[in-house]
Amino acid sequence: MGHPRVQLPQFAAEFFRRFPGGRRRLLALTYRFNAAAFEHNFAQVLTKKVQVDIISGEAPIRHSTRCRLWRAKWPGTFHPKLLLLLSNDRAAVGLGSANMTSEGIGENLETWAFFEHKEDGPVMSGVRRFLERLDAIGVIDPAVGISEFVSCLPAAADAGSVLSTLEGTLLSQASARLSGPVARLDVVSPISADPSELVSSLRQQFSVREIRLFTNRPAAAIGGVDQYWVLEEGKHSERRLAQVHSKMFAFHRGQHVDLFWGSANLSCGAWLCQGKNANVDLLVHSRISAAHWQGMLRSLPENHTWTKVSPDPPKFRVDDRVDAGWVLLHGTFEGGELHLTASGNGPRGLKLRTGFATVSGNLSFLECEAAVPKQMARKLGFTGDSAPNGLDWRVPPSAWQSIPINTLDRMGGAEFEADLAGSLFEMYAGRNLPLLRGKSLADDHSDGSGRDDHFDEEEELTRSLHQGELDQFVLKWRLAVRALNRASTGNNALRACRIHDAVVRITKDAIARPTAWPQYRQHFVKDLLEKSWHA
Amino acid sequence: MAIPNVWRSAPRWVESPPSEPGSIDPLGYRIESDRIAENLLPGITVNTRRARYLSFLCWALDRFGLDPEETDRWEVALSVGEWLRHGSSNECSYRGIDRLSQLRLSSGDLVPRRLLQQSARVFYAGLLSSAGFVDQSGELTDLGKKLAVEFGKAIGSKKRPKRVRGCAELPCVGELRNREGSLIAEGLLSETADSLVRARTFKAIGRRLWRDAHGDYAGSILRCHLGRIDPSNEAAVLLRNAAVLELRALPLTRLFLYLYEHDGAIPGDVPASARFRCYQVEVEPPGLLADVGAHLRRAAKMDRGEHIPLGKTRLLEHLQFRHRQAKPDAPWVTENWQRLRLGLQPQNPPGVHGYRLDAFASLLRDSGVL
Repeated sequence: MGHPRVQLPQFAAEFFRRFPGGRRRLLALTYRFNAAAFEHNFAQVLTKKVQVDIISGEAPIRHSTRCRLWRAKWPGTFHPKLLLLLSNDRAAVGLGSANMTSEGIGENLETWAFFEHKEDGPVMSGVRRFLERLDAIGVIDPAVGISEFVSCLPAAADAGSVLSTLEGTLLSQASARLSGPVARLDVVSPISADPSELVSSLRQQFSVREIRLFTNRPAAAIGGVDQYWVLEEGKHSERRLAQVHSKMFAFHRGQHVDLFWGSANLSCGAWLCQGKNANVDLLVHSRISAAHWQGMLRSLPENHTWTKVSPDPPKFRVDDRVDAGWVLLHGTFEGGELHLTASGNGPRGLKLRTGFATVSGNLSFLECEAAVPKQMARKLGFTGDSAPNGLDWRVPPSAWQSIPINTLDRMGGAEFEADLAGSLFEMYAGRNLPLLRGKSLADDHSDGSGRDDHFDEEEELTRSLHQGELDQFVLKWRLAVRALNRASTGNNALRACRIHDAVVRITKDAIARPTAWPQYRQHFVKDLLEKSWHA
Repeated sequence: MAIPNVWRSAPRWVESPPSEPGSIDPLGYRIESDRIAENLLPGITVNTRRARYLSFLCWALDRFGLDPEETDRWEVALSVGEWLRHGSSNECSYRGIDRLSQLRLSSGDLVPRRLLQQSARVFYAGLLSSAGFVDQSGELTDLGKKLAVEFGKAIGSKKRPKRVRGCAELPCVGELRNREGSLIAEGLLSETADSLVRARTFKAIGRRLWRDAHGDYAGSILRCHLGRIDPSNEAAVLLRNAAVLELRALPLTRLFLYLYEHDGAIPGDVPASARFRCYQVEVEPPGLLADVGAHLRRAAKMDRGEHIPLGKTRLLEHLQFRHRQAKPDAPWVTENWQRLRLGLQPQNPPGVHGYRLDAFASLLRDSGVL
């Protein structure tokens, strides 16, 4: 009997169809991101008014005109695969092994699950805790607005059924959850670097009697692994799976299996390291029957099967994420000193360039950071009272790349509009303000829903066009606040978080455009937000 | 420590989303170019590039008859042999080259059961019949049997290798025996009614142009047919029609893709005059609109068939009209150029259609005609 499967884009489209809220967001955390593949596969979602943010560990392949792209501020490998969907105050969480690339969305052997119900609490609260940790240590730019998702996920005192490398080593967390010997450990994972040390630790920690590895061909011999199985195309397959990219660790204990699955490979970087040298990875702890696990291994997509093979001589690639993938992430200029943060340690011969000059030099990265000599920084234009907001770098012979200074790497994407009330209304109501951009109220069912959920003030705003600018200002802000409140119904934490976001944006806008924001207007809007909060 | 929460259900395997019914042909010019190609080179497809697959398939049909699986497994063994000899270099292009490079097989590994979704049996079936190697019932003809014998000489008494190392002894798809080559040439150019049509196209283009047109066959050959031609030569007339079609298809498809990516906005206007650079169309403005204008003017001079307005607004309306005719069920954009389906832009800008000329040249080279 076939086991149920999951299609990532289909679930997202279905979620937004079931919950047609005004405020709709999609946030993906991924190691790799391919904008073209994402836009193609998630087309049904992207044609709706959904704010899309992508946080990736590596620079994305192609830029997107539809998504806001961000780089995670993490010196090691940022490797989680997480998809968060939000409609007003309803959230769904998806996690697993798939990157947001064409391979991850439909070509590899990947595992994934979505969670949105009450009984999924242990996973959802674990993801909440993970997001809070990322936010607290500054891996994600506050402008992403991750707290909006956090407010919609259930809180819990512990990490629920989610293990993350931000809480310590995965090995120690797994061992805290398992007691007694393990008869057999089945591992499904791609292998890129030699995991012998990890395999030996797993054997020792859990007194494992037998380890079976399910991986890609060729299966290189690993000390401590007893059996090797590789993916084989079935006789009646219509399509060949590109590679095993799923990551699952099944600890057999009697009639049940403690299954750890998610984004962590069978690698020392994922399981044994902690702090800034570790990968950022997530695993979910599930408990299923041994029969269920066997059934899952037997019912691979596209009629593929596992074939037992003899291992080849060890032939591991150098982990390209650690060496060839070395990159500068960002820079900070404070107190007259320029510091650069990279994805790895050691000495590097670099060329640096700004609009002022191009310089070469050797920098030594310790704990992923290096200080640029003052003379070199001055040549590049980093003087006491001014600094460029970006810097180009290259390690010859590779091409020039850019990093931001004193800000996280924001890589283009949709910008909000200068009309703050209008953009807030659009954010939370999912449609434009009436009679803005030449649309009439009657026409404006932008997602084709045809819902009759307009506010009274919208009609009033339509009539106010011949009235004064101040009337329009008042009506627009009333509408924006009404839309915000409606999108946050029943969740006070979420409403507080959105009001806080609105106040921050008003304050920033007032600094940028003081003539548009005299004191009385700021007071009026902040008062409106406060009153709506207390009402 | 409290007993941690455990979720009591397993994850699921990820299933591929259904593929979009899109293509890189938003304006429907491929249908017209395919129609011309079918009249120029019947039986040839973009995938029928190596002549020796014809002799291999005749041999397999003779030896295994109705056991297609055995034929497919021999084909994989031939490809593995090529991979052992040539690796992933393109010196001897063979089927499954990319897949074999990914697999990183060792000499002791079993030969994979399958490399590609479609086997050579499927790709070359039409040409086998069109070239007269098999008859309408799928049986080998006399010519096909002779070809099977020739390939059999190259195989000898070898059995199908089970392991990778055994494939090194199998014949190379690029090295045809002399007699094998002449039998294939006979099938391609003189055996059937289709062969005579191909021979007519071969003559109309001329042996020199076939030899000189390395790389960009279609571009080089069509460019030569924009000049004066013999109207009584059917193949030459078809080539000229193709050349004129490309004067419209290439610039308009590139313009559509630009508009698709930029929500219908393009700065500037179509200039009243611009230098005509045959089949060279910039992908970005301002060069894009200038090249579009120059190509459309040249097309209008040569053929009064499709009238395309040159004013920017009318030109965009025309693109919308053509697009809606080409994709009535699944348009890429709304009438206001708002994208309905995302991610359909090709990785590289499209060029002129190939008219299967490249594949035919490859077959002619293999069989010793060129």
